[in-house]
Amino acid sequence: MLEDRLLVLRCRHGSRDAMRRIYLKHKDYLLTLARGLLGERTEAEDVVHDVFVRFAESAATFRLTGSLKGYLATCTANLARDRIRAKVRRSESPEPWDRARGVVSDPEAHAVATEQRARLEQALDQLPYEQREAVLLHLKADMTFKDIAKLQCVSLSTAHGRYRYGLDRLRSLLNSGVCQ
Amino acid sequence: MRPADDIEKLVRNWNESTSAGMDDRVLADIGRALERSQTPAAPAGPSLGRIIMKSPITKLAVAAAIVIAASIMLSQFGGALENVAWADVAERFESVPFFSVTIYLGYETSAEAKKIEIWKSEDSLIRAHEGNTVIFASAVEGTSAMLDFSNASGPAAAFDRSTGQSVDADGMACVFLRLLCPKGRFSLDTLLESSPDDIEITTVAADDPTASEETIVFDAKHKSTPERVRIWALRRSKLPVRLRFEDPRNGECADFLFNYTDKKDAAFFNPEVFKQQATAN
Repeated sequence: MLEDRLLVLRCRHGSRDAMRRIYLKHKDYLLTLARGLLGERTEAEDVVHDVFVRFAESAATFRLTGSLKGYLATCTANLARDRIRAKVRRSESPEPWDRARGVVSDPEAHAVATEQRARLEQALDQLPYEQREAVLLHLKADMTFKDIAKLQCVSLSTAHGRYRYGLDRLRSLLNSGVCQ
Repeated sequence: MRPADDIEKLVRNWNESTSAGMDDRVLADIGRALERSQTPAAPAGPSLGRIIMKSPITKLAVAAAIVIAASIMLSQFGGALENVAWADVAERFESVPFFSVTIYLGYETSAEAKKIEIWKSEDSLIRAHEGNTVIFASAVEGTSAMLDFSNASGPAAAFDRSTGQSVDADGMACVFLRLLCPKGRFSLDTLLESSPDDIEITTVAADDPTASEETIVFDAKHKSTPERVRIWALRRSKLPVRLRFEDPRNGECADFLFNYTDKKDAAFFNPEVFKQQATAN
């Protein structure tokens, strides 16, 4: 945490190197988080791009009060939700996510994905969004249930329940092999 | 049947990697965004102090300063401690003519630690070492431009220690110099500008093994995070000798070790002398 705080302090003074190090440190798990939330890699990349650009734009006045990892994960989740809402407004069904489009737009990455990973992605797609978000934020962003509850505007027990239900559903899907 | 632990592990181990193309695009865009964010000139002086005071670490120390000072006044610590407060320590540090501080940044679980050394002369000249970089600066009271590297005749310069070539200095040494010397004066006064609302303070008792007849120990802990700061100061001289930051969540730690006896001569703080020596070698 100290390292992140010092990097943020350097960013406040305009350090490109510090911003670069923050990006390199956090980019992959944020991309995984965004991919898990949105389903499609291209969209996930756009979200991660926007998260870091917005972070850089606010660097001069940014105040880090918690963990940087949690902050960036929250930004990612919020932007992912914005995209989902935009899709809904365009009358596109947000769930289940159209994995096929992601596959078509990113065949190379899909080709190298392991079968287990592909099944996991498919199973995640079939979770209700709030459950998927709770699972991914807790496991990929190390967010506490308290923080997830705050982000989702629900009670602590609800956030925990969404995580548990999501995990049970994932297990059921992966065990049955009924991912499609 | 997969146990829940396996599913958690499966999700935790799932990792996407960005492509080189994406990295290039994002890094270029955040570089431009960072420049835009710096465009409105920050007000000189107080802003840096306020920036620093937003840091939970310094908040902890601030609260420690204020509350411990009060608690020490009210508590029975025995004769030697009776009149020693954090304010005394901060004031004493400010008046010290020269000092050096060695900073170790690392993790408790790792033997590797990043080392930074800073020296301050009686004339407020500064030299710092970080890795293979040496930084020279001159603190001018009332200004925060000590680390302005923007022109050759400016107050600061940085060189490669091996070759003597000019380099960009933008590392942790600069961060710590700004923390220790926000307004051109080395001081712990920035620790007196915040309120202790979110701080839980414990004063290390005089009979605690960490304290001694020679040292007084201040402890501060943030209420909402497990981070903690411990500060050791000499009872007699009231000089801080060590400050340790710990974050138990990831084992991150930082040690600041102060020294008040290693006086360096003027040549040590002169960048021209350094360049000549480096070139000669």
